[in-house]
Amino acid sequence: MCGKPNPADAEVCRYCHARLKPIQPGDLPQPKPTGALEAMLPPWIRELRAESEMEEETLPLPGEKTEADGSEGAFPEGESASPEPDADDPLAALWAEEEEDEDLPDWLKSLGTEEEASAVAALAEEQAAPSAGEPPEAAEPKGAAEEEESALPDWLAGEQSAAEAEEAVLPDWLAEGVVAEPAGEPAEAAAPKGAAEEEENALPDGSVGAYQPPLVEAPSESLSASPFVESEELAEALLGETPDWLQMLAPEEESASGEKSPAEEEVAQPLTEGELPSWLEALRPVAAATSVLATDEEEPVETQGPLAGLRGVIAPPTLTTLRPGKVGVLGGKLKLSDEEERQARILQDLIAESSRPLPPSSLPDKKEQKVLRWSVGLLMLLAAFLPFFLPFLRAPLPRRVLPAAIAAQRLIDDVPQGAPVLVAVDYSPAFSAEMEAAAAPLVTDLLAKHARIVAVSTQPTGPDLISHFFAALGSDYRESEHYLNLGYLSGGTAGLYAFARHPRLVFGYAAGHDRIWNTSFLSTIHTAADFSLVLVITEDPETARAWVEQVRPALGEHTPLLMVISTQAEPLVEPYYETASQQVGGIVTGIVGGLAYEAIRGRPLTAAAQAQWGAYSNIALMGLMIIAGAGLVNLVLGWRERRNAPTLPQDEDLDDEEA
Amino acid sequence: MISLTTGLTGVLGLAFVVLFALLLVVLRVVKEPRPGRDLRPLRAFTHLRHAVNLTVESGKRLHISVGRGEITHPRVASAFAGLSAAHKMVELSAASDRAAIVTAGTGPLGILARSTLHSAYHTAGHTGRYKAIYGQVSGLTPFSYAAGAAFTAGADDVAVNFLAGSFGPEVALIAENGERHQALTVGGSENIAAQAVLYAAAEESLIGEEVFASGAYLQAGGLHGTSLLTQDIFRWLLVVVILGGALAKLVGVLP
Amino acid sequence: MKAPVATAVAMAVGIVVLVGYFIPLSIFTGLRMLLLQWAIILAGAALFVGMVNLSQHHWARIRARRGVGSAWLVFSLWATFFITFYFAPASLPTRWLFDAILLPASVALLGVLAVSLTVAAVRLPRRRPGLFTILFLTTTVLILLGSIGIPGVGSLPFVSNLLRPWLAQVPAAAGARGILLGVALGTVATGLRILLGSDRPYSE
Repeated sequence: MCGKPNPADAEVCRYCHARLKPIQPGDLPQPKPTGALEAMLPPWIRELRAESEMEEETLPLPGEKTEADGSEGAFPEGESASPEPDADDPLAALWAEEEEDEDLPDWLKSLGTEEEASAVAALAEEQAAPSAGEPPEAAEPKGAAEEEESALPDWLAGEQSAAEAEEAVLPDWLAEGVVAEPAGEPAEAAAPKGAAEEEENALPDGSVGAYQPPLVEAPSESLSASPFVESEELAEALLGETPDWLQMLAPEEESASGEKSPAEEEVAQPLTEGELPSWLEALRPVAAATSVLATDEEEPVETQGPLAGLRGVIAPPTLTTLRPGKVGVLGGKLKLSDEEERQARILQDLIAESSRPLPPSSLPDKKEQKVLRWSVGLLMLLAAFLPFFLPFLRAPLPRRVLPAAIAAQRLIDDVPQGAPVLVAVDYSPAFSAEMEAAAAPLVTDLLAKHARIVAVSTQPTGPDLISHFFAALGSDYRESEHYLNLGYLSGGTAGLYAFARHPRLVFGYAAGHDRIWNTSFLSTIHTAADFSLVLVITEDPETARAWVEQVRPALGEHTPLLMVISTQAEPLVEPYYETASQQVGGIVTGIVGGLAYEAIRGRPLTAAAQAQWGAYSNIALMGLMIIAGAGLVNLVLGWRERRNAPTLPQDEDLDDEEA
Repeated sequence: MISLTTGLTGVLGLAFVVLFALLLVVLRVVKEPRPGRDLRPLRAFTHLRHAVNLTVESGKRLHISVGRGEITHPRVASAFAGLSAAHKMVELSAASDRAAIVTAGTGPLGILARSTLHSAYHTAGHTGRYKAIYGQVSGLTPFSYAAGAAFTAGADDVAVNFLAGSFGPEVALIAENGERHQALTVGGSENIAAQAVLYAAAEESLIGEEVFASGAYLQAGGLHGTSLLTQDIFRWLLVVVILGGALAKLVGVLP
Repeated sequence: MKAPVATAVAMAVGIVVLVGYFIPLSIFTGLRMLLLQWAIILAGAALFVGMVNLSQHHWARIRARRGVGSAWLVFSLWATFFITFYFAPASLPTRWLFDAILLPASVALLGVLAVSLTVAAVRLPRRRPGLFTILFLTTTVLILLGSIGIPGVGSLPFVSNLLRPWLAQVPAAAGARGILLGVALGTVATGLRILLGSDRPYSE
């Protein structure tokens, strides 16, 4: 047909795919296994085929996989065989969203179908975004063609054209595919179905499927790899046949292998005056229609190639396959529903977002950070240890009067001799240095009063934490003799709530004890209100809040709640003491609070406490000097960098655009 | 015998919750807010969405950490918000070459992380690619959890760290290790100390209740958008009540 | 709807506990206590689940031959478990494990955290130069200055007695309360989403 030279034994033209050897009478078509060629079919044919098969059987269910999914080989180790929708396909993602909406209870789901539709579009927006790019190092044995195929799927391609050209025409099939589709209907089937319906409309009754467009022999990968693949499908759907120029785009493999493609050869050959190249000829709709009409009147005579002069050798498309007249109605104003407009907008956003450069990253340079980290660490260590060698660097002890600590001292004084006291050792082991320093004076006072101390913890490491705490107070204090270690109270706030009201239900056993409720520590305890005092030692404001909210209400008026907290929890816990209701009767805050408590008692500070305060002060002082000094330098640098930064869209711009 | 005050407080509390639930349902019917239009822009989520897209394109990995909230403690709510966001992010990145990793600091959250991952892969149509190992308990005490999660956050193939859940100040270790390895870190927590730390240590931080908005901003569907709207309405209600109470106290109406 | 049984159970239990919290009638509180007891037991068991999960993760690394550390971790984890199980918590061997390994490791990590936070604070103005950063860092410096004693000087009179307490108890506490109110609303919303069956992290 095209007149290009072909090997002598070729049955089909390698350029235009026309049959070269005429079929002789008696040459009955032999059935051949064509399964292997299925993958070479263009996607739209596979979709049509799948749809027609589905129509024959039953309507597709949401999430049902069709042959057109073509995900074979996309996943390793049997994943291809899984009957799931192809997630690379945003249409499949729509199904997924459908499933996600199934997450809503039925009664809620039925309330807002419009919202569901928007959720579907929203998912499509995000689902399409990741697939828009091509992973540079694809670990999956997934065909590149499939990846690119997924980059802009059918329906998105359709929407893109609609969004880009506001005056563009939305073909009926596309409109039907989008508008007529109810929110819950499978969108996957909509596009191919629309295309099929258009073809159906373009054909007289009963002629569906009579015309088979010529198969493109190029591997489907190369076809799919073409960025025009969607346009090709669109044109095919509209015109009912593949124009030459589209066919010529297909066999790219040959170009790659060094051979000139027909298109290249055509360009290379000088054109005679007045002779149009075939691809341009194909664009002439009137001529095309005329030629179609002509074929109806008589058997065509081959005019080119080795078949020149033969009549009726190749079956031409009959009149019934093509509708004479205008090729598709492409005029008119675009009529879009709100939903379509929204989807188009989403697509625009998606395209804009994916193509928009991110603001320059402010992530730090690795080497610079390493130097900074080591410098800060060394300076802090220096600050901690120098006072041991240089006495003048020791910080003087604080002389502060803390009202909350005075209140704590009064509460401790109010505890009767030998009364039961609940102590919650409820801090993370990492904070043990600070918390032990702060709480030790209070618990020592309680022990001096022979209080029956029952210790509990909501930390999994609680039992050992309690042992460590009392061991740090002095070797004289032994478990079961001076205090009872109840151990770990599981259940978080629920556990606290239950323990405060029904402690005997929660703790039936403690390590090393058979009958804890018969011991002197717990024999009089039935609820938390039976304790004379509840002392909570914690570094976590959330834990403190849990004790206030879950346990405090069960304590009644006669059992005060006292807290020893870390400095970091002060802003959140202090209000429980400051308010008129005084849910917390007294607070000792951090090392400073412990020192203040000792000062109120008038006890001399130990050398260890002094050293701890000195190290703490010096590290904090070093930290603030580093922050102030280096921070100031970095502030200037940051401003300068921001001023000199290229005018890429900044974060605010991104937000504005999004808005 | 129930005291009048206790009973009244209980009824008021229940009424508050019921009213909240009703408003949630009504708003779901009336209007579903959408980011960029009905929701104010949040830079952290804008960057996060960009970064997730780029992560998938570059074949790198997402790391989502949902903290160490006890399942029986209210603080676990932020972890649930993180899991909702994780579901959406994993769903979007399910086709990526490298699977997203979710780390947790308690056993139940580890189970829920796996369940969420499985559900996300199923939704994305990649059930076969799900592996239980993608949901990890990285440690069972605060610092062991932080150390384990920091190890994952600093892995070479991790491009984005999304930290949403209950943390303490130890979250700085995770954020810092992520940033040290040039990964974008977006973090939020219900814990105030963790928020303060994340403000300084993370590239993008979610302040206050923003962590609970992650589902709505990542368009996780369901009731996320409307719950955000409901929160706003109740926030205004609380502002009016607080100001009214303070004023009443000032003029002596309230004792 | 997926996993309808799990959803129904979760919703029912949640509603019973909620109602039991607000309406202290014996029928509700009794049921609530029972459910809470179950929750406490399950939460304890969940620790064990967490151990299994942690081991699974590191076992996979060991099998992939890239985890010497993982091997140590799994060994230490289960050795600690069996020692504690055999000797009981707070016994001498477990105390030794706690005092000699867990506690120093945790404290060391807290020390590293101090360095990390200082580095982060130093980097902050370069990353986000702006008014809020200046405010953030100024507050940090003032709170630190008010909390310590300076060698040769002691506590700064105005900063430690007035400014620091005021900063901690007025703006910081007020801001924290405001944030907590927002967080509480978020928590209620999240809880209700679960109660209404919209969010189901437990359902596959």
